[in-house]
Amino acid sequence: MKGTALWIALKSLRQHALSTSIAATSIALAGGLLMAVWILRSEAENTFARSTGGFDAVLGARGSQLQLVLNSIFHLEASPGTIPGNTALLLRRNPMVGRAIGRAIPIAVGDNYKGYRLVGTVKELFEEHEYAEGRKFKVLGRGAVFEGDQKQALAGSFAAEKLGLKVGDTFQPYHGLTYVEENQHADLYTVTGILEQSGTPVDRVIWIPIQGIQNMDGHREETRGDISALLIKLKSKTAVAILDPMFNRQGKDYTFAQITPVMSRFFQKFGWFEKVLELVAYMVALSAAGTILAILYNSMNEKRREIAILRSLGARRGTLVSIVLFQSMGIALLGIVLSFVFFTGVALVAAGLIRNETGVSLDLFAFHEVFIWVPIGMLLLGLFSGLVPAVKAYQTEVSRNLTPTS
Amino acid sequence: MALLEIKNLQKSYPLPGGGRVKVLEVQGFRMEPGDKVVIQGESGSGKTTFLHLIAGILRADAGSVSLAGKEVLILSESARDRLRATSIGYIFQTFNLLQGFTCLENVLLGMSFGPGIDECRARQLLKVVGLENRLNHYPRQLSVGQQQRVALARALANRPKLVLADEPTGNLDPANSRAAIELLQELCDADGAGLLVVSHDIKVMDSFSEKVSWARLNRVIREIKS
Repeated sequence: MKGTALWIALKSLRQHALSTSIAATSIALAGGLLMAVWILRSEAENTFARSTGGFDAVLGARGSQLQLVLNSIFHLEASPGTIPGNTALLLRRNPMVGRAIGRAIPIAVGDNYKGYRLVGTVKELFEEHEYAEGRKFKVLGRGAVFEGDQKQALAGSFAAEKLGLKVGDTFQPYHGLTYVEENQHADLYTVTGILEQSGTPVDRVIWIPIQGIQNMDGHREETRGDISALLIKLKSKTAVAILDPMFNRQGKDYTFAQITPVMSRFFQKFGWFEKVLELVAYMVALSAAGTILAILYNSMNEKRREIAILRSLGARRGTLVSIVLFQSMGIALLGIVLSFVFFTGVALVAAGLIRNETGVSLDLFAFHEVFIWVPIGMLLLGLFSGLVPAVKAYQTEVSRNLTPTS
Repeated sequence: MALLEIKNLQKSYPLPGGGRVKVLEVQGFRMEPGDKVVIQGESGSGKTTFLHLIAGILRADAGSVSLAGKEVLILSESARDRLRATSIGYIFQTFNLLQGFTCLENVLLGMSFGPGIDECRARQLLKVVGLENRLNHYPRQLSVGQQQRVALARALANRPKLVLADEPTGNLDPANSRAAIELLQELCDADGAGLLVVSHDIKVMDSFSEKVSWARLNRVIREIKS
């Protein structure tokens, strides 16, 4: 009997293909939006918090911690200023903190090539440093890391792809972080290597020796020894208790920023936006439920005669209830399938945009509990939407709706 | 054992302003297995109500309806549904085919709530009624006469003990009427099913050896006439 009810329900859905599609699309929009909001939020937060480049903290000029982290780790925003080039040396000589610092990599920013940042640094970043547990940056093919005293460049995979750079190519950088054609430097750099994709902001940067930035034609003489920031890997996290007050409270020249807490606070600022998106998704879901209810309820009015005919053929009231609930759940199931299509589209576009802007690759298709509870929620919504029409079908009077009394 | 035995059957309907109006009172009616009976009467005289009471679609105020040994009026609703699904075939004046279902599917529906789907039998029935080439046509793609033949096939699909036909020729021209009644009788003969037809059409009476006047059967009408 359940097989018959399912068969009749599917036939009916196909018969009313247009209204079925409209209701299923509403469900798909709600489900897809909910999944997209949840996955993008949690994945972006986790990925950005993890994308520390293998460092614990950044030391830079006095200013905003967020600006310092965004500039030094994510290569976004302008640098808050410069600090002396010998800062790392001074830190290591300090008896209180010297032993707590595992690695200190200097970076210098200030130039670009066609909108992609040039960041000056040392070979150690690519040859010794692990940007994630057990993972070092790799140079593709026969390429190599730049030599510190040469005008050589190592291009991040994304930057190389977008600029069409390959090993042996030469280019002249542009002054500033924004590409202005008139601001081209005279220096000519040769690409010595392309980095393998790491899924981190490093991918969208062109790396050159730190002396390259410092000594670039046209840069101010008096700041040539300066650096933009020092990326710090701590031997012990307890060193934060010494470094934070030392630079942020007692000193006036430096800002010490712990990367993960700064990024967490940054994402917390977007909490209201996520709530708005969630609310929109819930409203779409409610509207979808209303659409299913209206479509099935109205079809009950049209179908009273059909229901009476089925009863005259021996269909029980329970069978009719099953037919209506199968219909509502069928619409929900179709909507769930479409919601994954919708989610995939949104996720691909969003992931592409985020990678374009930050170089960070989000893994939006890894399993997440939202992939379970959203479909279950949508199915329950479908079931709930079918209840009122099902009761109407249950109550349909057979004799009155079958034939006119003769 | 009689196929159908009715005793002191009464039915009334509530009036909008209160009170009730009696529409039917049948003291006795009996059919043996395989009988083919036509009841002739005027439109609006309660014949459909009579068939609905036999099929268990309506509940009677009083009396008894025994179908193949089962007392219809004391059965639970689901048992009456089951009785319709397994023992009764129903034919309507307006055919009542489901428009979203093909000919074959409409016939399959006739057996799906009872003995279960038997596609071979459905195809065979449609072949018998001359629609083997219209299996996948929808009702709207068929002529009125063809639609009625699908309805006949559906009524016989569950191998019923009794076929109830309510004005089965009401929408057909005389030639198609005669053909439909003959086909209906043949189908019932083939399955050993009893046939009870109600009709206002006097010409339908000619096709049956057992004829009953509704005016004589329904005491309410007798009282009105007297």
